[in-house]
Amino acid sequence: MQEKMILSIDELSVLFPNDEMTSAIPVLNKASLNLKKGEIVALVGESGSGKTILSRAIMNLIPSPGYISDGKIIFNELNLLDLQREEMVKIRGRKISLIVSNPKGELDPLETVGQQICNVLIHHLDFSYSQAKKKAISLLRDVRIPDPESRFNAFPHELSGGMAQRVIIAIALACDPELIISDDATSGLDVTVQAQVLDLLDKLVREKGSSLIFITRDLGVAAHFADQIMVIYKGQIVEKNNVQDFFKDPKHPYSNLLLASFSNDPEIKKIWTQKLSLEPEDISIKKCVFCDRCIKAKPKCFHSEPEMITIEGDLQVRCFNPIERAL
Amino acid sequence: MLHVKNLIKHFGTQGSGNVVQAVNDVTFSVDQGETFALVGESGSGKTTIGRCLLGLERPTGGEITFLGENIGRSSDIKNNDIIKGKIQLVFQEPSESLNPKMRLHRIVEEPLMNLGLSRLDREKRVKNSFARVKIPEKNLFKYPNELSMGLQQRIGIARAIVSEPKLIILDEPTSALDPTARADIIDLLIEIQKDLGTSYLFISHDLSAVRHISQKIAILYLGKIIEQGYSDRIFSKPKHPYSLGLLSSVLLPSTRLLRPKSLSLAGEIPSPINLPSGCSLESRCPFAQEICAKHPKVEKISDSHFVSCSRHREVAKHYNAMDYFEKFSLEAKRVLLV
Repeated sequence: MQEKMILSIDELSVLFPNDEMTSAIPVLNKASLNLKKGEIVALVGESGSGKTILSRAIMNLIPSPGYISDGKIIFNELNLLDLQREEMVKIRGRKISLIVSNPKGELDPLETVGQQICNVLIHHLDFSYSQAKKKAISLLRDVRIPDPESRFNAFPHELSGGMAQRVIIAIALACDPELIISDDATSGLDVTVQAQVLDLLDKLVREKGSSLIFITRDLGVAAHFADQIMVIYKGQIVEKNNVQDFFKDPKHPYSNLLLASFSNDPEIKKIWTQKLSLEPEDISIKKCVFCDRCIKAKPKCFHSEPEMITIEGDLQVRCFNPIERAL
Repeated sequence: MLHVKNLIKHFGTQGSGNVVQAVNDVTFSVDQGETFALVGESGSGKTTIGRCLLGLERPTGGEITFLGENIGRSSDIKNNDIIKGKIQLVFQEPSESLNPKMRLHRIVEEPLMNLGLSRLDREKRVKNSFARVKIPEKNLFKYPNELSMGLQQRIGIARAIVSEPKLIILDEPTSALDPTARADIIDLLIEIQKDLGTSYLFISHDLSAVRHISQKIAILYLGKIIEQGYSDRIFSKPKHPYSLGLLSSVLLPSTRLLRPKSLSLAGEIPSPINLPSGCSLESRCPFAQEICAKHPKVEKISDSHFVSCSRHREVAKHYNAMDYFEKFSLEAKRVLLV
């Protein structure tokens, strides 16, 4: 890979120990990721897959008692895991920013939204208040908030969910960060508003040349807005590809199941869906994370763990029997 | 079976004399064994309609008849032996609608307590209900937090079907779930309907689920039905600009289906306190003209297809005739049938 990577994560693992500290659950298991400048990568997974933990790991905000047990996070040739706390504070919100879902819960209810945008600018860029206010209003205008001058003085409760999400985006974009992480940012919004917010985010990211990690559980969003796609299941990235090829030819059985669940065709669902087991899992045995739900599972899958293998070009998959199809 | 006629629900706001017009003159009916979907964004009044049907809200005006009986007040439902237990509800958030301190069999049994059944009968029905939603009996004594979200929602469904209702109101039953769990719940609901002949009122903004499960749909905007009819007709030939906008903002997982961005709606749903005097969509509609300042009449397009837009003939031309979801289905078949 000759091209310069803005972010490269190498075999990152995150563990959460149990109460007695005797064993630990791998929430993220050897996840690797490479992100070029200006690229949008979608990280698709269901709840509990570890997609949010990956975003928190990049920001160095893993909630206790979880910890990063292994791996590297190289951002602009700097290993973020080696940094002191004060150095990381300078990167968060300045070079890397996070857009969260539940915008109303993240905004301070006691401060005007304008003030909250100004805080970021004053803290990171040493703006004076009047400079910051000017910039904040132009940011509100960029995210298409009508009448930004008067909205500057609005409190979060005066805004609708869509508006509040735009304010969060404005805060995230305030310092022209090189990397933006959107963690399920549009899942709580109505469809028409979601489309607007995504179009806006897409446009702003492309204009400013930032890179974007787009965390979502909606394959539809990934198909329309990302360049690369990564599918994550139970803490492991199981497939990586560029978006065009992924939707033509998904290789991992889980990717196929995920895609099939968006289709309403009973025939398709019958092929890919396996009977759901209700038994708790024994995590001490090394096996493929998906073997219990996999239609292609062979005996091998139940006692050894597949490695991530590169098939060709952008395509990588963690599976012993990837799906073959005639194109 | 269920007829809702000119239903109106207004809420007064505290302090000011303003009135929130949550539901405004809504008329529809649901037949036996049929799924009727109410589609709309938040603030469109779809949940309020559901609450009126259950007697949780008292309608400001209009009539609701169910199995020939007039309902509309909670006392009508509680004390009427014909209706008692015949309407049930499945909620949006399974984790918040199941009592965390009750064991699963008690949760599912609860709707039967008011029906005067013996303990043995109740037990039998609870077990049947568990079997219907395909949860093994050994889970009867677990607590809700021991199950995943998808399984919790199955318990929500088990609780709804245990009293053998004629009508189940499904208030966004899938929107909190992951894609695979969502597909699973929708299939389960369809199967139950086939077996028991229950009618569903499916309240949702998830158009792909609506397309799959419902025979008829009504699209709501600011408390009014702006288009109503058979769902295959509306999905393939939508007439109202809001329906077009809604359909074109759905993101289906394929890179080959491009969204018609020109049909997108600008802005957001206005406040239901001061309704616009003319067409309620005028401020967001890409097709708005002078005529739209007047209130549009409800027009009949064909048998049971109604639309309320003054310019629906011109608008309809902008949607290419192919059903977007149908197209995706073909694409998905090409990729996934291997």
